Amino acid sequence: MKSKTADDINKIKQTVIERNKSNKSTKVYVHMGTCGIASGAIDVLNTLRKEVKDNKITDVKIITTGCAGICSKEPLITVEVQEQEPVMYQCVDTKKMSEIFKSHVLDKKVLKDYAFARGMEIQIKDRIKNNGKIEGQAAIDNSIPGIEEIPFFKFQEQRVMRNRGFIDPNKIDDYIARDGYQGAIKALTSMTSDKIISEVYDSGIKGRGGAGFPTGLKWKFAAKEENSIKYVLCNADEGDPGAYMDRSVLESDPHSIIEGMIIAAKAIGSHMGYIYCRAEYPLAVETLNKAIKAARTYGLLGKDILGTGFEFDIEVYEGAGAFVCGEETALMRSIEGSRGNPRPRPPYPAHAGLREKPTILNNVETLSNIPQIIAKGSKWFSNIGTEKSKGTKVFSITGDINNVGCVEVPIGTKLSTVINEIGGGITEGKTFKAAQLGGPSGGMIPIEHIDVVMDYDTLISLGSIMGSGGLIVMSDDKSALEMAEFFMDFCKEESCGKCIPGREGTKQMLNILNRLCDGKGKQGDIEKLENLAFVIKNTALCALGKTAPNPVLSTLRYFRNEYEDAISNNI
Amino acid sequence: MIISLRSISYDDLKNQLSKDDKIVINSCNTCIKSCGIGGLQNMTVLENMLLADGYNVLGIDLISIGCSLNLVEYHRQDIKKKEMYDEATVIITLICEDGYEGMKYVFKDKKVISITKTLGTGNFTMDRGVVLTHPFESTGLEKNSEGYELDEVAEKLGLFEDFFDEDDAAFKDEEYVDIIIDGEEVSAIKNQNLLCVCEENGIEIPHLCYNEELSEAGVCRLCLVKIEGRKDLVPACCTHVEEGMKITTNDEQLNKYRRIILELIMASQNHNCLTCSKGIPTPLYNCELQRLIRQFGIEKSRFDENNEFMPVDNSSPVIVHDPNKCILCGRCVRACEEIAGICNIGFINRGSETVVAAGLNVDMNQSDCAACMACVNACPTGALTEKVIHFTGKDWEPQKVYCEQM
Ligand SMILES: Cc1cc2nc3c(=O)[nH]c(=O)nc-3n(C[C@H](O)[C@H](O)[C@H](O)COP(=O)(O)O)c2cc1C
Ligand code: SF4
Ligand code: SF4
Repeated sequence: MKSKTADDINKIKQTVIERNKSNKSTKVYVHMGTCGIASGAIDVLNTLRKEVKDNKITDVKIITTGCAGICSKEPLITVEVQEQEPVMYQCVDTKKMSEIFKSHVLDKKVLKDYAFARGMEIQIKDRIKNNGKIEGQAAIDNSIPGIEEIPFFKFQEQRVMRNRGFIDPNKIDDYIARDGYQGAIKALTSMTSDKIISEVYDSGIKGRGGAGFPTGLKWKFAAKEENSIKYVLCNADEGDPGAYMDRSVLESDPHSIIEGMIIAAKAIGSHMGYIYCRAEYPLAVETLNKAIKAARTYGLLGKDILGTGFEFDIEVYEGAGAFVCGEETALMRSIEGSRGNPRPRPPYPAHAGLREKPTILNNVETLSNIPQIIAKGSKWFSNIGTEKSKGTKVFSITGDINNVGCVEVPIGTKLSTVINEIGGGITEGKTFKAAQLGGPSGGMIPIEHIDVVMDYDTLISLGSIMGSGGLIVMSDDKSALEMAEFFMDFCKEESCGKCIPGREGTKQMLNILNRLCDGKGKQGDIEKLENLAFVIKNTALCALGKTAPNPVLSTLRYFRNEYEDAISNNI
Repeated sequence: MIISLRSISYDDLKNQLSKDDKIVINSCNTCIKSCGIGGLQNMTVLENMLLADGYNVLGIDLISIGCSLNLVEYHRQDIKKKEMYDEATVIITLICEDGYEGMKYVFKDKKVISITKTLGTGNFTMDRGVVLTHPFESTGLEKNSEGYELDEVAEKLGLFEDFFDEDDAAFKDEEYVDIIIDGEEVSAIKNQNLLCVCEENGIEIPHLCYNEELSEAGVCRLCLVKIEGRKDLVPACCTHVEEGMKITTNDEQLNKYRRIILELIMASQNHNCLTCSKGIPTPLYNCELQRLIRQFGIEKSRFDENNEFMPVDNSSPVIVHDPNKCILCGRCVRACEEIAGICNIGFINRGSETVVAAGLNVDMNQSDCAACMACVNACPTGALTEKVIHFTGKDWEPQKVYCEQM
């Protein structure tokens, strides 16, 4: 089949927009990420379908989307009656669904008791501009808060997540209608490889997978290599406990990743890419595969992308559940079919990566930022953020916090904003103790630093890291020592077993932590921990080992008294 | 052990070659290596000689038991070597005559050149090296329980007592780089392995996972050194020298790390030297771990010792696998893959649960083990040992100690 050209894509975009405008049906969005499904979204969807069928209505359009962000209120649905404000309902179950259907869909009467917000997330900017109104949409009961008034949404900045809760991830046309593939069109039809790389470099984007390496630089190294075979890889292994940002993007906007990879491929001169997605994300794998298939039918992947003659294709590779396979060299070994063990670098993947060919590996979030950087320009991207770190960062907030969910905020947002405003404070009215950022490789930010501006460098200076975005909140009745024990246990279990500091050092650190947590600490244990931490940090083979002592070091920095108590109580 | 000697001169060899030939050199790693005319080092010497004289050498390949047709066939089919063997037109093989027949069978489509004559069987002695005890009739030598030393045999039979002499080939023009190791200026061949360069210059760096016959792994972290301008410590065994490198191989910090790593190893398993059979006084069997622990003067690990006992695998007729003494250096795994060409043993499990296992985690005698001993020869500890050496002696048994008079 002939590939669609840039004009064809633009035509599709117009048609879809027109069609949506002229469609007078009532729209019901069911937000169905894995999180939604786990809390019962499938039953809700089935009830909705049954109601539609039983009532023999034809002017209702059901749209299934990815996660809408605020996971603790799920299942969530949004009902949009034509020419009226949409309304989001929270904690819906089958019974509520039937009621909402009868009242709001059939009788066009909003069911205030179950309502969560007026408006949709994608309208926030317009609503703020127009004093909470959207042109052509009649305002309804204003005792329901407008979505722009809800702190969880108000303080966010949607870029990576801009399509969540709105498009159907399985419909490529939905993505195209939201300016999808415009970045790819621009990159493939009017930009040279150098131009793409300098645009990405100028934007200042750093890798969102944890290490924070400048993406433009990484691409430049790979572009310089002369080799007819190069690979573009996407890291969707997301193994940090408590992290699910990438899953949310994969499930709600898979085409943004595909588009990012196409642009990366053009930039470095690659013709084959892999998305390494953990098998524990079956929905993400399914969504990705469907998206890749759809992109192939449109000729957005394949031999002649957009009729420009550029060739690139993507395959999804399912990881078998090892955290260490998120490490770049281990990930590549795993795709090659070997045991996923890291190897010493250099050689760096940009020179000899997958199958010893030049390779770039980027995180899901990094790649899904790319299309907009290309389409809107590096200046647009860097207009938010701090001096040294640009753009937004997605965090998944979990733990003792009221609003559990995925949030995207400008880099440089204060931790207190995330905890108290967006997160809605600590559960059961308790007080905040500390937040763990960066999972097992990261560190804690205690209450005295709650006003820290979150960017890469500031967090490092406090002994933590930006990490991949996992943010675990602890209330003051939790033990920091136990948190450190948990992460050390994780690292010990998940180390590949190859290098001695990583394998035996973590085990010995865990032995001491176990002892301390059982109240059986010995004199000298703290010094031993510090000693081991230092050795492991400096000698381990890969970043898993090198960063494994971080939670211990950080809790020793801020909560040393807990360690000391564990020893003195035993003497 | 089969005893062979070199039967052709370097000129004889060259006469059989043309500059258009695409040459692969392979060698058996068993008897012929002990006779001093096989093994990795000699292959490398020959490769360099031929390259210097303008021949096209595609590569070299070490085979644990070259007279096993199966193993040779595995090597030919190995994904990493297949391309090289397929392209080759000539195989120069360092192997006994028996093995040569096998090579000709496997590489029917190629010209196979042997450089040896096989003379009988013999064994290795500590004081006289390899001796020929049971010469073939064709050699005209009498049976002699004392055995003949190889130089004697060579002279009697008009053969060569050692391998080709590098001076017979043209001078190989290598690119040299100047580096500084611990303050001393050293000149080394560009891209040479740093650990080897250090050793050649008399600087010993502790290491356990590196073995020059095997690929580099960088897992034991003992050979970490400092290189000026690099943020992290780097493993010398995985580093290749470049112009101007400034290397520190030994300082207080590095030694502290090495000491702690050794103590971690000691604590990790049950390293009980009293019941270990490694340490027999032959060049092959010497516990590298024990040597390092003594060198660092470590008496006891400061860490909690692991007292779990894992069953010893005694099932193989020739190999004893004692996982309690394994340090997971991976040398056996690499040897079985690269030298045996079988991939019979590998790691299973993850983290501190990792162990080396044969086949799909079965006893050694249930696996595809070819009993080639590549893994045993590679193992630096007493985890994989040859069955026959068990309970035969120790090299650390009583020695005379002289005390200076006070
Ligand atoms: C043990 C370990 C696990 C990792 N897991 C992930 C992961 O799940 N997802 C990810 O994107 N990066 C992960 N990383 C980081 C990657 O190695 C790599 O730095 C990143 O994918 C590069 O992409 P970026 O430059 O876009 O951030 C992990 C690193 C380590 C050491
Ligand atoms: S397990 Fe050891 S003896 Fe058996 S084939 Fe592999 S290397 Fe040879
Ligand atoms: S058995 Fe020996 S060679 Fe194999 S991993 Fe263990 S110590 Fe290393």
